[in-house]
Parts: sequence; C-alpha cells; structure tokens
Amino acid sequence: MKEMTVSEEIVLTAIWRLKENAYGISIRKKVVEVTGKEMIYGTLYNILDQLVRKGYVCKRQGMPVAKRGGRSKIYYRLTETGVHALQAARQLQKKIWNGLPELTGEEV
Amino acid sequence: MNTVPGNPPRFAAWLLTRMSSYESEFHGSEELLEEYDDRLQTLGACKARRWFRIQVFRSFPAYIKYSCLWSFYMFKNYFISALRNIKRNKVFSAINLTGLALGMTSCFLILVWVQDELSYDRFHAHVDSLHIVHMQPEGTDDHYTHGPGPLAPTLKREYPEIVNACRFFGHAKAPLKYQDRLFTSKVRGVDPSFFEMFSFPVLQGKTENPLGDRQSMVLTQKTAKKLFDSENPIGKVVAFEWWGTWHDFRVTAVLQDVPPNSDFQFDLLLPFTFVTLSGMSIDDWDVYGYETYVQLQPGVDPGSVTQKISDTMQNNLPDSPLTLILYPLERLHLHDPRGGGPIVYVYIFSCLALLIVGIACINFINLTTARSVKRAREVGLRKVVGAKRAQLVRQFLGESFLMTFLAFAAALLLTRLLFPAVNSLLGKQMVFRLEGGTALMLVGFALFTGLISGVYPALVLSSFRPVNVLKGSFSSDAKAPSLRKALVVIQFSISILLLICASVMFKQLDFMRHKDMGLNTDQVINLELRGGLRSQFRAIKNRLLQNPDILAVSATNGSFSKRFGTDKVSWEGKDPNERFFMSIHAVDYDYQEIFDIEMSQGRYFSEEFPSDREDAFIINETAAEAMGMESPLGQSIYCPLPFDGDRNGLIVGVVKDFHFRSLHEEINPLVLAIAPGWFTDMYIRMQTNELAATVGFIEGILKEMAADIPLEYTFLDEDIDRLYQKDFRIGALVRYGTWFAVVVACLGLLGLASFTAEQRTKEIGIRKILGSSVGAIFLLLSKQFSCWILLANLFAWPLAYFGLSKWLESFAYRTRLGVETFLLASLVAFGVAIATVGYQAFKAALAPPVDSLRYE
Repeated sequence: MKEMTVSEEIVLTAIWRLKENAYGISIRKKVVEVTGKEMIYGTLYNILDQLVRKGYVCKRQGMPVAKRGGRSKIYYRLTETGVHALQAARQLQKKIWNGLPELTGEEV
Repeated sequence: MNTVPGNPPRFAAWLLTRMSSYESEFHGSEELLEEYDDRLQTLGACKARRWFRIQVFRSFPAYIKYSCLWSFYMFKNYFISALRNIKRNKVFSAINLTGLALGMTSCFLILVWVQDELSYDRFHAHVDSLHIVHMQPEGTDDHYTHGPGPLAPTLKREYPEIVNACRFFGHAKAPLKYQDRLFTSKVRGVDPSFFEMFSFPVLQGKTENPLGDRQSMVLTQKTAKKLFDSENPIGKVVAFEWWGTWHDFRVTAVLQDVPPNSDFQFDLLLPFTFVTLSGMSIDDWDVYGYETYVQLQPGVDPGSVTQKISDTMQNNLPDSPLTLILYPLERLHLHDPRGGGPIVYVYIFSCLALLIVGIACINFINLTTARSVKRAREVGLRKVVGAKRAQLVRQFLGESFLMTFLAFAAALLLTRLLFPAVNSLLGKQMVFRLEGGTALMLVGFALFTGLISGVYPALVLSSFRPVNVLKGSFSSDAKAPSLRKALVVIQFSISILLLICASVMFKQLDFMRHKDMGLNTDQVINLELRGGLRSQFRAIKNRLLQNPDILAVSATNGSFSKRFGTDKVSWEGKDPNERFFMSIHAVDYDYQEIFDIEMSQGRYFSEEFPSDREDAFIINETAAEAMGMESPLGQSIYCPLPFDGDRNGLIVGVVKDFHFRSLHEEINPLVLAIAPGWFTDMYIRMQTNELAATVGFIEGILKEMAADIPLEYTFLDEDIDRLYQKDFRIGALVRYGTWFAVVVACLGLLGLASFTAEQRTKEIGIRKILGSSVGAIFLLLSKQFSCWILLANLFAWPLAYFGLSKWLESFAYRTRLGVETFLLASLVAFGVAIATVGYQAFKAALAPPVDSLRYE
C-alpha cells in the first residue's frame, strides 16, 4: 500500500476522532485544533476527495437541516481500508522513531 | 462596496460560486458559508469577512489542481468511450472515417494547387512595385502585351516615378552548342536592369551587371550543368544559333534555376541587343515585339503613373491609337486584363474542395444523429450520474474531433501518396511539405471540419432527457429525419451538379478535340527552321519528296502557336479611320497540300504563276466578309511583311475558313502570302501505314543535311492538343473531384441505408411472414432514398445550367448544353445511389425472417 501524505493522515485521524459527527466544518475545526494552523477549505476538500477515491473514507448524506436552506450535510466515515491505512501509518511512525531518544534540539 | 454587513464579501462570494459551479462540484462552499455565519456571530463582521476572503482566495490553487485532475479523468473516460464506440460500430466508423479522409484528401490536394497558383512570381522582392506595360487601342478593351523597343528607355528617362525599366524578348527557342553538346533551349533577351528588378539570384560569376557586354550570356544552373557538366562555366564561349547563323557568346554568370511557380521560364539570358542579329529593329516606335516591365518607386500610386504615361505612344508616333496601361505583375498569372482569367478556376476549385468536405461532414452528421438512439442510454446514464449538458456537448464534440483527426492522419497519408499523380496530371512540380503556414492551415482546416461535423450531433445527443431515454420507450425524435432528408438532398444536389459539370466539360473538350478544324493535321511533322535546315531548305525538301510516303513539305511562320498580325493591311475602299486587325500567314506553295485546305473561290498559289512570289494574296472567307468585298478576286490590297518588304498585290483566291488558333478564339480575318524570309517552321505531311519507318527516313536525311542543329520535331496534332492542355487539366481535376464527391456521398447513403435496414429488421421479418415478396420489401426500403435523389435533381439542374452556360461563354466554339447531359448525369447519380441502397435492401429482404424475429 502506498503511504499516505501527512495531511491525509491528519484529516483521516480527525475523521476518526469525530466519529459520527465528521462533516466539513467539524473536520476543519479538528484539523486546525491539532495543527494549530489555518486550514483552507479548498485544500481540505481536495484531501477529502482523495481519501474518498482511495477508499479510506466514505460519504454519507445526512438529514436535511433547516438552517442550510433544506440541504443536507455530507458526513464522512472511516472505512475498513481507512482503518488499515491508519494502522499502517502508525506502524510506520513507530518504526521510524524506534530506538531514538527524544529530540532535545542540540543534536546538530 | 455597500454590502449589508451580514453578507459575505461580494467578489469573494461570487468567486466561490464560480468555483463550486464547476462541473464536478468543487464542494465545500456550503460549509464555508455556514462557518462564515458562525464567525459573524462570534467574531464580528470585519474579522469574519476577512477570514472569508482569505479562505476563498487561498482555495484557488486547490481548485485549479482539482479541476485539472478531473478534466484529466473525464478526458480519459471520454477517450475510452469514444474508442469503444468506434470499435463497436465498425461499419459506421469506417464510413465516417473514409468519407472524411477522402473529403479532406481532395481538399488538401486542391488547397495545395490553389496555394501554388497564388504563389506565382510572388518571390520577387519588388513584386509590389513591378508592372508590365500594356497597350490598349483606343475604344477597345484589348490589351497588347508587346510594344516597341524604345518604350522602356523612354519611360525610364522621362518619368521619375519609374525607377527601372526593362525590355524582354521572350519565348524564343534556339540551339546552343558547346563542343559536342548541342540542344535547344529557351532564350530571353533582357536589359541589364533585369537583375535589379527581378529576384533571380546569381550563384556564380559576375553579380554586378552580368549582361553589360553585348557578347555576354547568363545561364541557369540546369543549363550550365547540361553544357559543361562539372566544368566551371564562367568565361566559356558558347555558340548560339539565331535565324540561320551561329553567334558566339561568353558566359558571365550562372543563375539559380527559375522556380516552377514563375511565369518567366528560361534557360539562358542574353543582352537585349541580340534581337538585332536577326535584323529586327529595336529602335522603331512602330515595330511591336517586346514586353516592357517597369519598377515604380515604392509607395507611388500606379494609377497616377498610368495617367502620366498614357500618351507616350502619341508623343512619339503621332497617329498611334495606343494608350499605355500599367498592369501589376502580381496579377499577371491569374487575372486576365479584361476580367476573369485562371483566378476563376481558383475560386471554382476552392468551392469544389469545400463542397466535397461539406458532403463528408453531412455524412458524419447524418450517421451520428441517425445512430443516436444507440447512444441515448449512455447519455441518459451520464446525466443521471450528474453530467451537465456542457460536459456532454464537449464529450461528443471531442469524439468528432477524434474522428476528424484520425481522418486527417489518413488524409495526409493519402495526399502524400496521390501527390506525384496529381503533379503529373496537372503538369506541375508542386512540393507537398508540412511546414509553417501549410501545416497550420491544414490543422486549422481539420479542426474546422471537426467542429462543423460535430456541433449538431453533439447538441442533439446532449439534449436527450434521461427520463425518456431510460424508460426504454425512446425512439429518435421526430425532427431529425426531416433534417437528415434535407442534408441527403443537399449532398446529392451537389453530386449531381458536379456530375453534370464534369460531363459537360468533358463534352466540350471532346468537341474541341474532334471539331473539324477545316484542315487536316494527321501525320504532319513540325520542325523549326534553323541552321542547316534553314539554309538548305530547298535541297532537303527535294530529298524528302523522293519518298512516296511523304506527300508534301512546306514552311510557314508557325501560326498555330505563335501569333502574328497587323493592322496595316489596306485596300481600296477601306475606311481610313477604321482599325482592321488581320492575321498573316507566311506560306509556301505546298501549304494547301499539307493541310488539305479547301478553296472557296479562285486558286491557291502556284509555281506556274511566277508573279505569285511578288504580288499575290489569298484571304479567308472571314476576311472577305469583314473587308466588305463582294467579289474579292482580283482586288488589290497592301500588306507589310516584316522580312520580305511591303507588298502590293492582288487577291488570287479565297480559302474556306479553317481554325488556325485554338477554339477559344473565333476565326480572325487572315491573309496568306508567299514570304520565305519569314519562315520559321517546316511542316512535313506523310501518308503512310508505317509511320515509324517514314519518320526514321526523315530523321536520317535531317541528320545528314542539317547536322549542326539538334534534331527535334513534334507532331502537329499533338501541338494542337497542347493548345487545350490547360482545359484538359482543369477537366481532369473536375472529373476526379466529382468522383470523390460522388463516392463520399454514396458512402453516406450506404450508412443510412444499412441503418434503416437494421432498424426495420423486425418489421421486415413480420412483413415476410405475412407474405410480402422480396421485391416489395426492396421497394419499401429504396423508395424513400429514390425520392430524395429525384428531389436533389430539382436543385442541381438550374444551378448547373446557370454555371455551365457562363463557362461555355469563354469558348468561341462550344458544344450544346443539351438536356440529355443533364438526364445522363442524374441517371448516373440515381443508379449509383440505388446500387448502394439496393445492396442493403436486398440483404435485408433476403434474410430469413426466423433470424430477425427469433430473439423476441
């Protein structure tokens, strides 16, 4: 399996964290919360699109909400492949850092 | 900006809608707006708006990336479905492709020809300021191209607007000799300014004024190679035969070969003064024989110069009726000064090319829309899944572009293959190179074809409503067949029109070929009188006549291809103010025998009347009538003969009119006189079943008695055919174009017919079960098509009649525009069409109904 990009990983974990409540706004908020940086909607949706195409998440239409002119939100949910991918990503993280001490900033 | 504070910034919001309205829905705009509302509540309008702007603007790169990505995916998808579609419908794709490829091929070939025609003599650096001086007799629209010798120097001296002037003595052929090499070449005498005015680059030798010396000679590369092989030609002395004498000239320069797209075709150039070697005058204002070219100052209006120079002739020759006119060099090749000219053919063939491609486009439109039912499901499904109309239009347009480009590639290949054949057909040396302008033009043309043939089907296909289509009860909508019918009618109107034109052209050419010219030109050999042949003419003639197969030997001034005339013939009772133009034939005693010319009154020249040499004339019937003579015999006339002095004499006979020029021209008044000084051509009439042996005999005698000149002869009937060569070439081009058009139109019909048969398979099966005969089914299927083609005649006939009567007007002697030609052309079109449809109809009618009904 091809490795995920970091931004994909971030978005994927955000969806995982949000469980049933993962839709555009909440995902963006989560990502901003985790990274501490502003996230542009355009970028976010490109990443979401990519994840959908890779089969890591699936889209689901929610019930229409009065607030949005009767339109429904689109919710995202992890798929099984998505879970595997996250697992793999985590394994990779561990392997990368395996046996290394915490960085102190004085290694150079 | 006076936006209500609660709303998002206008421009950014607009940009957002633009981005999200993109075909694949660049979504997220909903969420963005929602969050904006939240922020408006919590952070205030100012910050919220700022945030919104940043969000929108910075989404832009992502949007671009996104849309590119999807365009690629969609393109891939369209491409695959287009290829699948081509593969699935092999017959229809093949018909479409062949039609488009044939259409484009003929179009390319014609375009290259047109381009070549338009490029004539455009390579001269000063082409815009070069003009030829024409002379116009008062009160006529004639243009004389040949003027007097002193004209060019006078014009240059007297008018500062004229930078350069150059005389030409052209079209002469003469033998060249260097050591043992001997051959005839095309000679032109030019003034030294020639090299400044025209762009014929010097490759070798003197670049400055190479013809400054009276004895100098300039060769083209080809001629130099023929004369000297690899030797250095500069400084070599070459002998040149002119009116029976050999003259030495020294080669001073070698020019690049004259490009084929030039009307100045020559092998060597001599100083203009060489003309005087024959005794011809170049200083008299009343001897016309030289073309005069002038170069104007840049930016000078030719019209104003024409006005200034117009009465130059009167200033020097007080009673001259000629006015001067400047005629631009760039119009020389294609435009006739009196209007029309070959440019008409350029227009005609451009139209022909467009018509053929039009027919191919119609095929594409018809077959695609006819088969649209088959693709309706695909369209429906795409729409259900979310495709927008614009996307579908793009998809189908893309498919037609794909087809066009496949056809384009095939057409290029075909053009390459056919190019040598076309060149030899047209007697041209065109080159087909895909580069620069040509390539751009062809690609542009292919795009245009794709667009024309793709737009309508794309609009039709994309307009299907998914509900109707997917319900399953869909059939091709009712409007389409009537349009298809109209298009087929147009196609066949064009085809029939072309067929009629081609056959009338063929008829006219055939008519010219076989028209009784009034003289017999079979088995007549034509030789130019040169060198020993000229000096020993009598002796050679006597030797030749010893052979019983040789009927007669005579000499003339070669009036079939060259034209000599005068307006100075006068007779008693002639109105002195009337200008009367007459052609002159210098003939020998045997002229009548050579051509079997019949006399209508009096007698032919005879050696029994010694005075015939000095004071006898014969005129033709046209001349007798034009001169208003009731009994021309015995009337006295005056006629100047350039090499035999002026002559006063009596008319001893009148010949029946015969055609001594091409049939484009009417028979002119003609006067015949015995004038040996003017003989340029020798004619030998044979009557034999063993032509080769007799010709061999003639060759033997010529080799023996006139060894100093190259042995070159032509057959007169071939010479006369050559007068119509251009017409034959045009005719051939039209004929092939027509067959291309008919084939392409029939391909379309074949496609439609097989489609109809396929659609009605079940109907046919049921009809057969119920007892219908094969004939009845055949009729059922072909009836519709026959009606269309009959209808097409209604449009084609009047158009053809109008166009052809115009064309025929350019011939003085023309064939009748009979109704049988029209009927025949229509019959051919009908026959070909019925054969095409009939094959499909029969196939359908003969198929056992079991097969067609089984799968229900």
